[in-house]
Amino acid sequence: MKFIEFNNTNIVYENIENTPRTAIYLYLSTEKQAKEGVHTMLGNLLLQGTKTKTAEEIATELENHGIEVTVDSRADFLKVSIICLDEDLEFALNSVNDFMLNSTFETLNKEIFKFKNETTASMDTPSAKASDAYYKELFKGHKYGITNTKILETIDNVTIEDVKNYQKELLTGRKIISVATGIKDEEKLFNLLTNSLSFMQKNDIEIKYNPAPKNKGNLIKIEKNDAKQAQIFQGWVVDGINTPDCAKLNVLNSLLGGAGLSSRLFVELRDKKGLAYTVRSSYKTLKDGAHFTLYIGTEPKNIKKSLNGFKTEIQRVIDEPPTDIELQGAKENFIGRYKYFYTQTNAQIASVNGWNYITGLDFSCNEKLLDEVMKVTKEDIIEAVKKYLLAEPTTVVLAPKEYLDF
Amino acid sequence: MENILNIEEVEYPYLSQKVKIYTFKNGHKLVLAHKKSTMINISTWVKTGSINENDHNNGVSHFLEHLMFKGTEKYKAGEFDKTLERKGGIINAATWKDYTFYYVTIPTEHFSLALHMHADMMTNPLIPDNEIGPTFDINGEEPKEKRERCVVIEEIRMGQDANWRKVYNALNAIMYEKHPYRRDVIGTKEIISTIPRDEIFRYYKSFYTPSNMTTVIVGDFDEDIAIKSVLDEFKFQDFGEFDKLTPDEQIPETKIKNPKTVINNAHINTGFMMYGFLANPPKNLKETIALDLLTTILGEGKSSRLNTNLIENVKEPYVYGVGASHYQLKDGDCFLIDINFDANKKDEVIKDINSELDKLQTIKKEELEKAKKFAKVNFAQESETVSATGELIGEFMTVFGNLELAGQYLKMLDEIDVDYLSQIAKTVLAKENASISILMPEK
Repeated sequence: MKFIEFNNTNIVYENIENTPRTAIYLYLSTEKQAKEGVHTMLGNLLLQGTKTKTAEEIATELENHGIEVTVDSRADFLKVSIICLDEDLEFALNSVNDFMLNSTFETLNKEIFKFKNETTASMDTPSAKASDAYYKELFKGHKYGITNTKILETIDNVTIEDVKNYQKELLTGRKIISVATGIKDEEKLFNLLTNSLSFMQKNDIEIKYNPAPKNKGNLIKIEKNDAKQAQIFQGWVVDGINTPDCAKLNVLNSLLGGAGLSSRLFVELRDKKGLAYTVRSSYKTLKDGAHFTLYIGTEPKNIKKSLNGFKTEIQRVIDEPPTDIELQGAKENFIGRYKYFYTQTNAQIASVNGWNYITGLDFSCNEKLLDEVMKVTKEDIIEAVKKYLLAEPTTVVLAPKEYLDF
Repeated sequence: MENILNIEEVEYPYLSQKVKIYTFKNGHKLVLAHKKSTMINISTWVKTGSINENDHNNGVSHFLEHLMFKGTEKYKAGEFDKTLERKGGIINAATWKDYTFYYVTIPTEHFSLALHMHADMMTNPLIPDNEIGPTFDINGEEPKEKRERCVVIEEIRMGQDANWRKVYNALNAIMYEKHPYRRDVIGTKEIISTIPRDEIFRYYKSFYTPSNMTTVIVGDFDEDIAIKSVLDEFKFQDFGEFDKLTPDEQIPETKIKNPKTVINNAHINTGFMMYGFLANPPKNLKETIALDLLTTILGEGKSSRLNTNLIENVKEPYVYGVGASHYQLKDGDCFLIDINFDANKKDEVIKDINSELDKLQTIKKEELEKAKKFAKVNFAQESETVSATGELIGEFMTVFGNLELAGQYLKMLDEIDVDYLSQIAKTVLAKENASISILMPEK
């Protein structure tokens, strides 16, 4: 992996031999908070027409070349991903340059209309509905709590001017081009990237953090009377990447419910008690914090049993801490999963490298994290449980009304 | 090695070396594919799934897949998962209509251990009663002990909350007259709660035979060691004479004989609709490729006809999401169109889709070129990781019945012209050939 400044542009480059497709991830972020919905609308509008091309023309020319371009508005950044055969790279970059600089945003009203309907449609899925309510509550008062249903409340107030102004902020914000490719001629590649994507020239913007608050947890009940399964999300805002607890929380997650078929929640609640098909924990890190979440989908009459099961397994980490073998296994599991999910394809590699930069991390942070994971002790795990998971959690339960009286 | 009956070499797209297929004397096949990676993928594909079930044991293939992880003589229940996941392995399995497959993707240094445990699981499962859990009346009292039987029932419940799955299952039930493909792979709560251990084990003995299994290894490995290890580790049992299960009649249905429309209701806010068509088996490579191309033209990507005409070019679209998909099944392909829409506009949506199907009989050259490029890129994408490569090889071996077709795919792609594509659209995707399943909000 190489990080360079080339033609006044920050580029992170990784050469992966014998791969026919190049992956380029553009990350753009700004410290200025846009009005709710503007960031999402910008992402939705960027492929919807420029001064010279309609949405249909843009989509057709990209897809005629088999080029995958997606624009993803996350709370921390806007990400444009480009994946194409090496031979189509120049064409893809020119197209991206055009829509990044020349989008008209004229179809804003239609995109708002579509967003409203798509959000309504997605809430027909019980797990999506429960998940939306969970993140809204968990991160109340922080940008991470602005879910699609929250955006719905004020989406009609978004104007084209809002979108244009926010785009300007992003273009003068923190930026990186992250590329993973089989192309070896670096000089030629960097010239192509920086000439085609001149809007990606760097600005020396200092990164700021606005840590997500660790709110006191609440219990939210959602009625869905024809649900065959209850959807239960439970969790806490915890410390994130680049903090001393990150490695500990990752190992705790592998141990508790993130390792696949052998972690404690899976074995105890699924294998031994038959309560669920899906039960897991997850530890997700974001720029301004992280969350540790437990999830189970279970027959509605098992709600109390499942919540008690969560509680028991959390306490059991303290009462029956992992043996040396279990702890070592949790660490190696984390490392194996890291390799599997983040180092196998050009897209995974470009995505991770770009994310590290845009969230203010060192490019060697992943290697460091893997080293730190290997140093985690059982005392560290117990300490992490006591510090985070004994606090009152945020819990969302979706089920038919008759089962919500618990 | 005297146990090898036959060796074939096959060109495979985007792999630098030819793929080798070894057929052993007992009928077990081994496919070796070299690919540079820090991880190795081992999978075994069993040519059985819901296709070999009947109305009394529907769901047994999938239930057995769960139970295969419940221990062997050498390793008690949970050891397989624990040991390999503690080495950084990703393990799982999946059951479909034509096949069931089990896989491990693990850092390469643990190849021997992974192969040893995988082979042991495939050939010596105990399927113990205490892990299955007691039979019980699903409409009666709770079972005394909730074990894997209840886990599968929870998985069935999960599917009952998934709107697309409801629509798809209802469609399957009306697309086929008799073929076992009409059944849901996961089965029913009534069958899973009552099927005894002996019936499950009888199914294992009937279909998990060496000649029904293909093991695929993708990654960086020494070929001689891999072959020797597979021969040594896959110790198939001889079950002697027993009352083998005979599958239901499997007469391929390659066109819907009596197209129907079914409407169901749920507590939802929007409408869900699925069109289904049947086609010839995928060994008719040219036709199956044509259907892949028609999928792209009609419903893959933002520039597809359905997305453009029903969403992007409409001022206030009443269609919220639309797509097409095509999947290969041994006894005949299936082509689907899925639409999520404003529930007040059901009739308009049907009219729109029918109109698009009529128009599909005329295809522009540039649309064909776009679809061909898509197909090539998809192939490249599916060759990027050891696990995706293993999965595609397994599918070609099991569903297509011939890995050479993978090598021929890209060559034959170039032979397809708009006339052929139009002809397939006309014969397979005519609106009169479709069955339709609709899920609407409760009134």
